[in-house]
Amino acid sequence: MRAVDLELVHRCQHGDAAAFEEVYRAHAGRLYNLVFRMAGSAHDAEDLLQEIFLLAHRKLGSFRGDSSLGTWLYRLAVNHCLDVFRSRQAKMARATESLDEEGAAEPAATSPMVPTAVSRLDLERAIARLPAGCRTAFVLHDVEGFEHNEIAKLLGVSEGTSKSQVHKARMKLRAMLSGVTP
Amino acid sequence: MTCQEYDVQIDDYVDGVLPEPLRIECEAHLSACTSCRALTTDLQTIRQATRELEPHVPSPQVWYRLAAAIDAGPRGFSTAWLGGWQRAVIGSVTCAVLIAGLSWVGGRLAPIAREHDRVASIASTTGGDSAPIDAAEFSAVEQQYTAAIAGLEDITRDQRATLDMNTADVLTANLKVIDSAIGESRAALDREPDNSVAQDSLFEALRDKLALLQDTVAIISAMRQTNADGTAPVDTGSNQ
Repeated sequence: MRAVDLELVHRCQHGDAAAFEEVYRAHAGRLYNLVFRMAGSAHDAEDLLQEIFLLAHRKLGSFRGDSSLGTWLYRLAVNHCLDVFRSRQAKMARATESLDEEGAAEPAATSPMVPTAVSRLDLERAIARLPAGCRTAFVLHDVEGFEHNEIAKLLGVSEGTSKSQVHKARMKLRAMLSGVTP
Repeated sequence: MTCQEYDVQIDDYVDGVLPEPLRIECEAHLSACTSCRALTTDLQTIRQATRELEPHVPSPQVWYRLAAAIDAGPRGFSTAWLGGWQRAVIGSVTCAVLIAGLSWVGGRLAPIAREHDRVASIASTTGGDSAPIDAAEFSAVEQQYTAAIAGLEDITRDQRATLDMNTADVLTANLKVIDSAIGESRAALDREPDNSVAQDSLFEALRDKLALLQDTVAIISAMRQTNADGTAPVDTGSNQ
């Protein structure tokens, strides 16, 4: 597998036009899903996907085959999204503030509060409203299926931080899907 | 086990990764604590729904824009980067959009834009985005969208063979996702006709569908033009 990746990258570096399209076709779908959930909208996700592949095109020379090309692109995508989100810090801070209030408003419950059949639309919207930090950990864990130790490596945080961010996201989703508003 | 002790384990319990002895302890606590049981049920519901989320598919335009950006960049590949028809598509999409804008399609879209601006203006003067719009206004805008979408769907259905298989498949997948969102928004509005969030959601989904179909018609127009000029076959499959 790695040999195939290296050969493909080698072709890209030597100007083989079809090779980069092959890279795009093979990985765009998975990366788009990741980016869509992290960004929260199709418009932002498409812009981010384009930026990620432009970045990949520029940085292919640094790919050494230590990991698979898919993993390398995945890390590139996560890091690029985080960079973009950090640059929107002020906006995100306002969103976090608002959602923290929602979390505080969550009442104790003795029976389930989330509808048994959660609509896809409601869930997508609620995920998009999560603060960027916990949304990233949640998307990587609950949507993408990464383990906490893998997320810790991807994000450069401790495993405990990954766990607490996923827990925070789940509790906020519960509050939002239960219709609890500040 | 106390509620505080269970709270520390709840995520691992929901994820099914607790070792057996601890899992049994948690289940003993859950059988006696209605509050923790309710919370656990909610988190399990959310986890299950999250795992069942449908995948999203990027539109074909992302690749076209990306290829054009690389082509234009300092380290870009040569124009051999794309097949002949793809180069022609990128070059002529803007023209095609303009042509479409002057045609029947444009005639149908302009009133929608005006109508939607008017409704947006009404919404802003009656309490902002969160205020539901009047039922008659809502119905009028929705009908305009629906009519324009129907017209564009007719064109894309008739001319589908013009698209290469990959683009056609992506179009189908994207339309399926958008139609699903439209269906959910309409179902929500059936339950709560004055729900402004559902109204916004429906308009957003209709706008997405309209934009996707507009892009598709633009590509079809450009490819038909390219084909007429004899510069490239239209069904090369070189996008694979």
